[in-house]
Amino acid sequence: MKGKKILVLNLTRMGDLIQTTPLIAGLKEADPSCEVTLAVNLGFVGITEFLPDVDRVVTFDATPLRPADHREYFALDAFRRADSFVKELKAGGFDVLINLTHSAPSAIIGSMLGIPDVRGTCLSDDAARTVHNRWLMYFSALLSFRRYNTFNLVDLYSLGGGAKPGARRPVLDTARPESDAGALLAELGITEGEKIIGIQAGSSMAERRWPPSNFARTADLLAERWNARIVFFGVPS
Amino acid sequence: MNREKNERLIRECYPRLWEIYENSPPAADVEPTEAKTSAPVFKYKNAAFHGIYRPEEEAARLAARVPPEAKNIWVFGLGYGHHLRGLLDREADVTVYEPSPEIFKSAVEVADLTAILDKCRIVVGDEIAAEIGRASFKGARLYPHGPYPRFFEAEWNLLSAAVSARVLTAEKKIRVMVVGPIYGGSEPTFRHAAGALVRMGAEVVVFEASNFASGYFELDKMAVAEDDKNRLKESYCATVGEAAAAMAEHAKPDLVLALAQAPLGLEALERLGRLGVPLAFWFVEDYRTMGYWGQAAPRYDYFFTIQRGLFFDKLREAGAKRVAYLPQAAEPDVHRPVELAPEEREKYGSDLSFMGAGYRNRRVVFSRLLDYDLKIWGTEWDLNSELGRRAANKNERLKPEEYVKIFSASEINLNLHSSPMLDGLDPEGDFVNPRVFELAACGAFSLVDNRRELGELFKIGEEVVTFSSPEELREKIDYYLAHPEARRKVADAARRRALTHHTFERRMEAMLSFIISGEGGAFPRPKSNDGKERGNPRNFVRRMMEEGADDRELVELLAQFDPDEEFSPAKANAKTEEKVRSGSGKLTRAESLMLILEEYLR
Repeated sequence: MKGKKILVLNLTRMGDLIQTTPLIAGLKEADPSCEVTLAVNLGFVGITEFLPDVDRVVTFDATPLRPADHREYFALDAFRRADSFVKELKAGGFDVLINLTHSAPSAIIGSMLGIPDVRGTCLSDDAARTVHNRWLMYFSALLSFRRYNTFNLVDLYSLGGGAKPGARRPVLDTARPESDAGALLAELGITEGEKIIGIQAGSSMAERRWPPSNFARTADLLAERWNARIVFFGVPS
Repeated sequence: MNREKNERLIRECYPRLWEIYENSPPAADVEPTEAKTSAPVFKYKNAAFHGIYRPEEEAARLAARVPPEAKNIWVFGLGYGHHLRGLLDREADVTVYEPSPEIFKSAVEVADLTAILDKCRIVVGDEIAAEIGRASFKGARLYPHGPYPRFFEAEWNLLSAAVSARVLTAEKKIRVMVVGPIYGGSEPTFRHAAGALVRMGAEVVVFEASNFASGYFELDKMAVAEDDKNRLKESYCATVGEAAAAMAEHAKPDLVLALAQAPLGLEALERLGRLGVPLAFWFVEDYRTMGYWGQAAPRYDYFFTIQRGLFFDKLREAGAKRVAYLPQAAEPDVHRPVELAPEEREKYGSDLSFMGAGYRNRRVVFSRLLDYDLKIWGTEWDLNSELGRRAANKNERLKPEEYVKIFSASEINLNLHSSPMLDGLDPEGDFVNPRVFELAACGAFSLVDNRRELGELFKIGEEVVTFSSPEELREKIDYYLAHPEARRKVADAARRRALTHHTFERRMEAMLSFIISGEGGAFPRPKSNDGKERGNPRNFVRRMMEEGADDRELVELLAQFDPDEEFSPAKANAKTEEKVRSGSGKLTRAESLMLILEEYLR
């Protein structure tokens, strides 16, 4: 059947999202008429506009489900937020679910959608967590034998999602940002030919972040040693 | 004819109302007219306060809003009384607050008020403050009439806050822990706030951080390196803060109110946060001068300030949750006019006086007033300067009882807000210092430098006289020294305003009312059924069932729990687990969503 509606559930972080691009390209290659919807965490929606071949993006804001201050937790608000996300996905009428998230919440969400063709983790009718597709089963168990693993995540995603593995690499659609960057750099007073060093200092996980003062010192040293202009990358979130 | 009947009844039975009626100005803004049914109605500032077709129907409309079980009914707005007639046969106490003496006067002249006067307690204008002090608020319900709240916003805010706060203190014994400073300018505010809460019927536990002041000052005097001294003082304050938190754990208050400069560091606040009760902070300082608010802001549930505008934005940026403006106030038991013996008048009296610390901007401005009979009171004045020689108390600290004698004995009390950055007046000055309220409540005449917030608290020119430059100050001194009757008129009006609107009881009412509304009406927060930890009121089963009533599956899930229990997804999932184990059916949508919620909380 051509023109399937495919939901790729990827409630992970930015790097994982970028590594999903070969899978999506593979799906489109096999059937250009298929429609790919990508469900992502709100905090990473910024990157999705650079992911090629994605027809639609649905976001999930988990903030009320896990507020920074436990006193701000309102069970009813959290319930409604999760409910509306599931309803929005359900309304999509998908034929295929590719769940690349491998978390318990995503398994429960997957089971609530009633999609006939599931690839990845899901709850069975008796509420047992089940992984559909052998490659994704392999992936879900990967943590226990990671040092012996020889497969790249990109290929695991492609194989698990049902795309043929190929020589595809993660790709970002950077045509527009390049022209934007030129204007932005000019606005910042950076002229053509100047050395620019870009720093991506962020991480969505606090424990993975280097202190800002260290970045500041490094940036000073680089600027001095290389006579370079420093540009920090990031998104509002 | 109505007028004669009303006047006779009021003169004979309600002497205070008669006094107000007789002294009220002619009702210039009130325009009596007739409805289509010939019933008397009126316009106030061109707005109709009763329906111009069938005002009689207002009686049934208000009666329909007031449930039969209401026994203590408060109505905001007397008008011509049409709306009140449906309440006259109720077995209930009915109190009607008419904020405008002008409208009251017109009502007496035009409408038939006799049945209303027989049934209702009518309170007019500034009398409301005394009425709030003596009335019972148990079971009180408040109903505004027509456009009154829009035209009398300050009075409406006053009464609605008072009713909301006092119903709480009358019906539930709430316990408030008030934490004061080790030392400093917020000490009197701490005492007055605690005193007001007691008078309102709250149970108050005070943490007297000032009992630890001697230790703090001993450290300050030690001959050790400055770094060491600062570290020692910091850890001493942290220990005092921990003591406050430990006391709170023991006292189990429903609310913790900390005053500016209270020694509550991050660790103490963390510990207080675990009590699960609202934490409120009254920052009675200039945020531009005292910068510690940034760290404190996100730790409190309620942050009260004496400044607005930009400060609100900054507080929100700093993570403050709920912010409200709560200006300083007067304490009528302390700040009141006093009779002075001739020798006291001699000692404390002068044409001009200033009471306060000798900040630079004050020295600069007051040095230009040395040709007047000027006395300076307070501390930190340079006694060797020409101005310092006017320091009557030679920099010795004065007691509040002496302050009020100075205020009463001075023809003109000067009030110049301190400004650490300027040599004169601060053109950007916004907050209003306590002295403005204290002088007003004392019935003392004052000249105060212009402040952005002042016009919202007092009517400039009528209730307070301001100056914007040293030249204007001299002009106004000359004028008011020559016109004692003008001074008296302003001072009397200021005192009336202060006693009605600017007392610590009013502030505590406003504070509690803001907290009640911030807590979604569920204050004090209910205890969990294990009686130990208090949770968020919105997570209690009963509340969730009410708010989520449109979701049948959710309501069914919640129905498995005690309505007075605090709900958590984990509790729901324990039941779901039993269901799964026993193989009894597929998970419902609500059960599945609860599983998701618990996963996110892990």
